[in-house]
This record gives sequence, C-alpha cells and structure tokens, in this order.
Amino acid sequence: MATKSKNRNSVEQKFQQAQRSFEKGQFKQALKGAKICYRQQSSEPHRAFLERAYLARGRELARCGLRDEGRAVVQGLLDLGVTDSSVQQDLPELLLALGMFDRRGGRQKPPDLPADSPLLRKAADHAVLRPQETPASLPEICRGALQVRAALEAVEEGNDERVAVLLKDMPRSSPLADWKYFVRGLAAYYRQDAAEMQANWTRLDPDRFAARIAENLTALAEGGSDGSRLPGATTRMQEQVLGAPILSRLTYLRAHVAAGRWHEALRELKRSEKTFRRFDPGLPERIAGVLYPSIVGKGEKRWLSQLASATFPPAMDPRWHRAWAMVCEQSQDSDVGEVESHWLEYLDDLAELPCLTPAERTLAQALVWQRIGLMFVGECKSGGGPFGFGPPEEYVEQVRARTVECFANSVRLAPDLLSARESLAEAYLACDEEEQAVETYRELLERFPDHLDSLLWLAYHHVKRDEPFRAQEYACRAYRLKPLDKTIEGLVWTVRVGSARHHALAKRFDEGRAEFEAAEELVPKHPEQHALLVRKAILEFKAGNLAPGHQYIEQARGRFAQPTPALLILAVESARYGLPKQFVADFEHQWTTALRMKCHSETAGEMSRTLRAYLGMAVDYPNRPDHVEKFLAYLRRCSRVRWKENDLRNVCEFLNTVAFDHDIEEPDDFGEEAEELLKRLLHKGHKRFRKSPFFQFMAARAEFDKGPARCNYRRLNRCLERTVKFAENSADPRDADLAEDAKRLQSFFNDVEDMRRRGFGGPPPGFFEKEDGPPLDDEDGPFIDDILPDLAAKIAAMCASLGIDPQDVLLPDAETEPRRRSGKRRS
Amino acid sequence: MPDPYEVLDLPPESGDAEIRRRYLELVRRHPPDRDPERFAAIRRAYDELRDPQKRMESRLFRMETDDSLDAIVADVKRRFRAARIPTETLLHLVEKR
Repeated sequence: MATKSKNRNSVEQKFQQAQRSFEKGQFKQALKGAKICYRQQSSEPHRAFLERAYLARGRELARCGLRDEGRAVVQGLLDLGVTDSSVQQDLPELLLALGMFDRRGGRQKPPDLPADSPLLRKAADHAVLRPQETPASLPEICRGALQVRAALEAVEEGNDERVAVLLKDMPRSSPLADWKYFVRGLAAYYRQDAAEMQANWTRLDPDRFAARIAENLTALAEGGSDGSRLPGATTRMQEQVLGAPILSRLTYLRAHVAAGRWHEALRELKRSEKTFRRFDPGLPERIAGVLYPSIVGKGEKRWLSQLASATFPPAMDPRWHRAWAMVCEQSQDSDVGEVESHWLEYLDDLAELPCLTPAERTLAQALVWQRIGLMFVGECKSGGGPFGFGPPEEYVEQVRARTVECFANSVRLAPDLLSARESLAEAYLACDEEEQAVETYRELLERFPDHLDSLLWLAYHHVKRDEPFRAQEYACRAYRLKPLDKTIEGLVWTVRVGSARHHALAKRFDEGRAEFEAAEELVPKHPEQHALLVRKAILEFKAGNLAPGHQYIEQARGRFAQPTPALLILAVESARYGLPKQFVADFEHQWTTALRMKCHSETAGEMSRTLRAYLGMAVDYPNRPDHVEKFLAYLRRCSRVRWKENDLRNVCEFLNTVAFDHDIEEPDDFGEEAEELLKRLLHKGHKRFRKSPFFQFMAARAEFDKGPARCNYRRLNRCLERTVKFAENSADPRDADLAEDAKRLQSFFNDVEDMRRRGFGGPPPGFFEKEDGPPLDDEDGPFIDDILPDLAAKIAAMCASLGIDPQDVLLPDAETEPRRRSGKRRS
Repeated sequence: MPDPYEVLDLPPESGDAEIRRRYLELVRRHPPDRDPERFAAIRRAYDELRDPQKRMESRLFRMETDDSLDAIVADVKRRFRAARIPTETLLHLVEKR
C-alpha cells in the first residue's frame, strides 16, 4: 500500500515537473517527462498532456529546421493517436510544415479540404517553399506551386514575359493567388517600379508567407533611411547578392554617426573594413572621406586616431600627417609647435607622393609652407594676453622670423605663387625689415608686372622716403591699370609735384615746370590747387623769375577768404625748395603776421589739413615744431569761430595726430595741449553737427576711452549706431572707413555688454588696496587679467584693431586719466 | 561650397585636358539658357579647377564633401536592387524574421 502510494506520488511529481518544463518552453524535457508519466500511469490527463507535448516539440523542431527530427516526433504522435481537441486542431498545420499532411487521417484517407480553407492556403504556401513535399492529396496545389516556382525563377532571370504567361491563368480564388501578386510585385521591385510593386504587395495577406518576404524586401529597399536597423532576415540576401551584409553594416555605421556615437561608428568601420574593401576597394576610403570633415572640424584627436587604425589612409595623405596637422589646428589642446611638426612630416611625404607629378609635388609643398606661415602670422596677431602682457617679445620675434622662413620656402618652391610672395613681403614688414620687403615687392612685380597692390605699395614707400622719381615709375604704372581710380590719380599728382621739387633743387627748372603741367593736366581742379600754385611760385623764385612767382602767389592767396593757408605752404615749401634764407624768413613772417588775423573756420581747416599732411607723411623741415606750436596757439584763440563741419573735422583730425601719433617728433607738451583742445572741439562738434558721422564716432571713442568701468554703454552704442547710419548716407570717402570701424566696435561691445549683464560690473571696492603693501597702481597690470580674462582679451583685441594701446583704455584705477605713454592712436 | 571634382564628376587626380573636356561636355548638356543653375555650378567648379594652384589647394586642404553616408547607402542599395536574388534565398526569408 505504501509503495503504491509512494509510486503515485512520484508520478504526480514527475507530471508536475513535466508541466513546469512545458510552461517554461522546455518541450524536449516536457515530452520526456510526459512519456514517462503516461507509461507509468496512462490516465486521460497524462495522455492529453503527452499529445500536447508531442505537438509542441514537433513545432519546435520544425521551427528550428530540424525537419527529420520533427517528423519522427510527429510520427510518434500519430502512432499514439490524437484525442485532444486542441491538438487535433493544430496538428494539420504542423503536418503541412513537415510534409506529412497526407498522414493526417492515419491509415484512412484524409478528408478533402474545402476550397477556402485556411489550411489549404497554408498548404499552398508550404508547397511553394517545398514543392517536393506537397501532399499527394493536393495535386492542384502541387501544380500551382510548381508554376509559382517557375515564375519566380523567370523573375530571377529577368524574363518578365514568361512570368506573365505562367501566371495568367491562375484564378483569384486560387489559394496560390497571393503568390501571383507577390511575383508580379517582385518583378516590379527589380524594375524599381515602386508604384506597381506597392499595388501588388498591398494585396498580400499579411499572415501568409509571401507577405513576409515582401516585408523584408520593402524594408531593404526603403528601410534604414531613418537610422533604423535593417531586418536581420536580409542578411542572407545581402550575402548572396553583395557577398556580405554590407547594407546592414553601413546602416549601423550611419546610425552611430547620426547619433554622435563616434567611438562606436569608428569601431564598426574597423570591424567592417575588410568586408567593405572586398565588396568595393574604394568604399572604405569613401566612408573615411565622409567622416574626415567632421573629425577634423571638431579637432578630435582621439577619433582621428581611431579612424587611422580603422582604414587605410587616403592617397594624398599616406601617413595621416596632413590629417593630424589639420585636426591639431582645430584642437583646443594643441599648440603651433605640434601643428608645425605634423606639417613638416607631411612635407616629407609630399616629396615622394606617387599620386602627384613632380611639378604638383613642388606646388603642394609650396602651399603647405604657405599654410604654416599663415599659421604663424595668426600666432603673432593673437598677441597672447591683454595689456601687452602677452608672450615675451623674444617669442614673438622668433615667430615672425619663422614666418619669413616659411614664406621664403614657399616662394622658392613655387615662384609663381603670388599669395606667397605677398605674404612674404608682409612678413618682412612685420619684422621691420623694410628693405627686404621692398626687394620682395620688386621681385613680385618682375613676375606679375600688373600687380596693383605692389605698385601702390612701392609708390607710397618711395613717396615717404622723398624719392619721387622712383615713386613715379610705380605710380604711373598703377594709373595706367586703373585710370579712373581717384586715389591713384591723387598719388600720381603728388608724385609729379614731388618730382618738380627735386628738379627744382637740381636746378632743372624746365623739367620741374613740365611736372607741374603734367599734374595740372591730370587733375585740373585739384583740391590742393593753391598748394600747386605756391610750389610753382617757389620754383620760379628759385629760377630767378620773381614776377611769375608773385603772380602765382596772388592766385594762391585769392583762393581762400584769408591768405593764411597759402602763406603756410609758402613758408614750408620755401624751406624745402632751398630758397635763400631771406625768402624763407620773409615768408615765415608773412604767415606769422597772417596768423594774427581774426580766426576763421576755413583758414583753420585748411591749415590743419596742410600740417596734418606734412606730419602724416613724415615730411620733416626745419621749422615744423614751430609751425605746430604757433598753429596750436591759433587754435586756442578759435573759441568763438563759427565752425563749418568739414573745417572742424580737419582741425580735430590734426589735433588727434599731434596728440596721439608717436611717429612724429614734436615735443610731448604739444601732445597734452593738443589733447585738451581736441576734447573741447570734439564736444563742440558733437553738439553742433549731430549728423556728422565723424563726431558721432569720436564721441563713441571718447566713451570707449573711459574704460569698461566708467563707460556708458548705451550712449556709446547710440553714437555708433548714428555713425553707421550717417556714414552710409555720406558722400565723403573718409566716412566709408568710419562706418566699418563703427560696425566692428558695435559687434565687440555687443559681446562686452553680454558679459556685463552676466555679472561684470567693475572691480569690487578696496580691490586695489593690498593688505600688506602699497595700493596697486597702474604699474601693476593684470588684475583684470585675473578676474576677467575673456573680457580683457576681447578688449585688447579690439584695441589692437583700432591701433590703440590697451594700457590707455583699461587701467585698473578708474580715477586715473588715460595717459599717452606708448603705442599709437590713429583716427 | 560643393567639391568641384564632384560637380564635374571627375577623380581628384584629373589633369587639365580631362577637366576641360568634361567641362565642355557638361556645358553642352546644361547650357545656360536651359539650365542656368546647373551651368553656374559647373562654371564655378571649372574656374576652381582650371587654375593649377586652386586645384592643388582643393586637393590638399579641402575637407568638405558633398558625399554622405546616405549617398553611400543609396549607391549600395542601387547595386543590390539591380542584382537578382536567387529564388531559394528569397524563399528562405520566410523562415527568418
């Protein structure tokens, strides 16, 4: 009894265990357990469970493609007999799948299936897959399946006509009709006729096999474009057609790149590189070419390192040195030394690059040298820190020297590279090697005789050195190239007039007169006509012809309300033309006397223009400081003058030059006096001439000079806006430059104002007092450097672009007036 | 700015004669009166490439490309679509998901 009970319990346990296995999907275990249980106790539940286990196991084996094993299991079920209703319902489908459909009736003939039976449709699907296993009881299905297979093969061959013939008689009611639509859609798929393909495939029954295939093909044709993966089922297709799952891998790569997962993208590229190369030898390079710009643009060295290990280098960059150089150029944590070293390595690569001809290699090397040179130019301009506390002067000089070397190499390798020659000349100028620059410009003109910029530079260079004959050659060539350019016309005029003086000094008076005539012919109504008349007079005096000389002087004097402007020129030029001292003294006296006349706007304006021209062109003559002093005294008396806008502007420009241009050698006292006068007159000008872009701009500059702590940004911005607005409507060519300066300042101050709103409001009180020492003064520079490095750098950069010494603008002590100490200020 | 080589559909190592030949061919196909935009693009590309210096600068330093991973995928798909899939492989898709 106990044994029976014990046995019963054991069977129950095994049965429960088997059921648990079944629930977990472990059908093999479940079937084994079910068999044991049924053998030990052939009860109804055990039998029903056994039948279900057979069915499940059979399905499992069929799904895994183990058809023989599946058949063996299902045969076991058939031998057992099917009593369970659910198994009876599901078994036919499994029999179809395993090609055992005809055995469903056991030894009896299986019943016929109705024409619209779902089972018949499944049988049709299986028949197409494996025609040889089509049940003999379904001959129509078998024939139809063979037709479908033949049609599929015809599509594979591209024989669409045969497809039509094979399928034309297949009725819509046929269980194989689905396949007919599929085959037609497939033919359209290959023809890339999307409309026809869709028209057929949308008619497919979604539960049938044809729809599954169509779904995969559609996914392959259209899928992946939104970054989604391609179905895994397409892998075999890709392998068959492309030799490898190329599309899948490309889609993964693309998805990673789109999501910014560069590490994963490059890893995928490395993994798939050989596969890609087998498919298409150029494909990895093409992919690298697409990824390159992003990697270089972002300056990401680690990605470049990964890319370099993932694929072969491009033909133009066999050792990736160019790529490294360009990435380092963009990278925040690289310096010019690192960039240069990569470019130098690339130069070596270029020397033997097989994909370039020898001439191309040389040109390429020249271009790379030029690029290195330009990088160093940028390094010089960046200036390092603000307030002149940038990199040491020695470093800057080294960099400049290196710049010259680079451009010189570039020119040596490619003598026809115009840009390199231009850059070389500029580099020499930056190094204060003016003679070398001159030589470079001359060589440039030998190669490029019509290079206007070089012609003009050399012309101005010789004018500044008072070498008008040499200047004339270049000025006249420039004029022949651009005869309508007023600036060049003015330059030629100046050169002619200068040449006349030299002729006069050499006592070649006829030649001098000829130069004056040429100048007059060139510009009959020159604004400086009075100056020309004066010079003509002086030449005649020098030639001993007093009468014509005096006539010219009278004409010159009569051009203005007062004779003073003409007399100033007479005083200056008489000395420069080397007239006898008596003449010079007399003309000085005349001018000094005329200065005592009532102050007049036109007189002040004209004299300002004249003196400023002499100062600006660094024309030195003996009485220059005296003239400046006397003229300043004259201007001091001009408090009640009714100024005209242009005259006042000329006066302010003159005063600005005297106050802040440190190339001139006038004593410092003039500078302070000029500055004081300038302030007064600018204020007057701003009040009276509200629509003058010049005075609006100077008002803005005055605000700017107060420094960030005291500057009224709103007022400054308003003045700049008005400058731009009035300058754009102005006919005065000087105002075009003013508009540009104003726009630059505006842009700069928009950034500064942004920073101010974010919390900058000046240094805290007591900041300047050191606890253990004397208070900080303007000698202890960079406190702002410490607290506002960004702002300070921006201010310094803006100062540099305007030619202002940052020290004059941004001193720590808000109470101290900006001092003119070093640097230049140009208006 | 599009890559001039891609606009003219030329490999980067093309020489002067080839560039000119392709330019004339494209201009005949896209004359300015019929296709002004394309003509303008072709002309710009040609101007960039006819100058040996600009051409070399483009080859050395130009990083931008009109190519894209989308274009590469599209090219491969075109090749795939053009090829016929064996029937057995096609039917095998039924058994895979």
